[in-house]
Amino acid sequence: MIRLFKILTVSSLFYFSNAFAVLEIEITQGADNAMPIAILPFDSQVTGVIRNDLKNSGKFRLVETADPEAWRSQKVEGVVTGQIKELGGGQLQVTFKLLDVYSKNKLEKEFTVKTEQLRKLAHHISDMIYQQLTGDRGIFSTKIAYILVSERHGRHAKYKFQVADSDGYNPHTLLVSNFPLMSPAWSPDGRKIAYVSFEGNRAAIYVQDIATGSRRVISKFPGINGAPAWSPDGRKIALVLTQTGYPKIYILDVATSRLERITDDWYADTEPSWSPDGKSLIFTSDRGGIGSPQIYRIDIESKQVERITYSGSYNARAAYTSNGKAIVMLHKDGNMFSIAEQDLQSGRITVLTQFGLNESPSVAPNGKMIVYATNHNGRGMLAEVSIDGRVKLLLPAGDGAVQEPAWSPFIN
Amino acid sequence: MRIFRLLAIITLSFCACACSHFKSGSSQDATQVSGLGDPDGFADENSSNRLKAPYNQVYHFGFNKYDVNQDDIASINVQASYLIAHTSAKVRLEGNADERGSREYNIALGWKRAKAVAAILKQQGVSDSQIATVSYGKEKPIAAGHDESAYSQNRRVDLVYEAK
Repeated sequence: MIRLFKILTVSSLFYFSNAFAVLEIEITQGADNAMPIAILPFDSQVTGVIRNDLKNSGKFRLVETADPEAWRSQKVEGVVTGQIKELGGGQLQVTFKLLDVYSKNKLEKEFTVKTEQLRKLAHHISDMIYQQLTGDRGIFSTKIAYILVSERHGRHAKYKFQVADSDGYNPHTLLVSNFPLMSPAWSPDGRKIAYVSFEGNRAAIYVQDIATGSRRVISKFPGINGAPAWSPDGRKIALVLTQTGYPKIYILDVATSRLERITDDWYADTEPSWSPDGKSLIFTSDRGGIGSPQIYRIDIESKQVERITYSGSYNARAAYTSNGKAIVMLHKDGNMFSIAEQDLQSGRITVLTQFGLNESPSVAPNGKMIVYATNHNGRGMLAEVSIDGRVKLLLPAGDGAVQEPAWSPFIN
Repeated sequence: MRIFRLLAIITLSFCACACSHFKSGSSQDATQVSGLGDPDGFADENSSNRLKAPYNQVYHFGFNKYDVNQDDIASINVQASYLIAHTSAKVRLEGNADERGSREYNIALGWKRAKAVAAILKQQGVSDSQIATVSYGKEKPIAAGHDESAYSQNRRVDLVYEAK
């Protein structure tokens, strides 16, 4: 059953001077088993953000009443209240309380923040509420990196590499280029992003420090320099080079710049992604048939290769979910390119998207949501789907086509 | 409260980064100052490749195909003869794919096409040092549509002179 919700545009958001929604979240399908909660307004800015966060997670249904009798009849499981006090000098004291109706547990916190930090605090409070009520860590304080393509005229376009809050607010541009930008990949500590840039009409992989904006080239060989992926310990980057004449997977030691070739033959191998234990890589290869890429796993030490996907003629761009028990990938389903999950033990594939041309799935650090790029009415935009397929969100962009989202790790 | 000090640092550094970014318009920052457009245009804008050199060329490929069309061999040979006679001339072969499928896998497909054209140039005797190969995958489509007519225009290798 598809329930359509219209996005609530909260006028009070003007309060946050630099909050600008490039991406506006629209829920296209909500979870049927959403948990009823009540959020009593104590500050329109803070509660506005918390309400949007919790509603857009698909896990909660907001009950619009302050009447305890109605909470009981509507089976409300959590009640959020709070207070905000001006301390002077641009400082605010924010107190919030969450009453878990069933366990009778109370979560109570007090913060002192500057006015411009209110939005971040609101996301932090959403994270605490989410964790208390679901047992999983919230992702409202995480970020999403993506490529924004605008002004396309034939071969030429403007490419912006941006990082925004996971709800689309506070976009920051890290790079503007007249050459394509691709494949952003977060370092596990969330401080750096590796990406591919074609400036000067040559492919190169850069690593950019998010805080300082400074960047350095880590790979600029003739031919392909592509698909960077950080190892879980952040010491190595798997990438694709064509030093043998064919696209092959390599591992670069970030500190020593030592390069090791991992795959070897005349097929096209690309899109390496690390297992959570850092001992193996999954990658896309056409070794099973030209035009029919599938996902393979290679043990880094023994170099033993094993095929992972058998269902469908096209599986690519795979990544492990956070617990390592499943992979999420691009899966061709009839004429459609869908986002799918494959359970590694049973081999069972679950297609998570229903329509159109979808690509570039990236899993949230708590493993509960996937952000991906979709073509909606001829426009490139981001969308999200929960790992169980129950919640779907569309994040329309204000201007241009948004592609290649990469969800950050937890940042703290 | 540690988290908020940290968040503040991140916010400030984002700002610092954005500011320094817009200040540095130096020529070293090629991504900021590069121009648009190729002075000679491309053959596909005039419907077919000219059997003259040195001219930028476009070679199209079939669906799932990475071998050069027989019709294009004569045109590639004309450019090869020019390159052999002019050893300071340089070309860039840009491999491209249609929009279907994953971005990095399409980079691999564009690469195969660019290598196929490079192989013919080298077979004719063009030096390796005169050929640069890059794959744009599906990042630089010519045609914007989502149908076979757009796809067939986008499965191509652009031969571009970097020096004549």
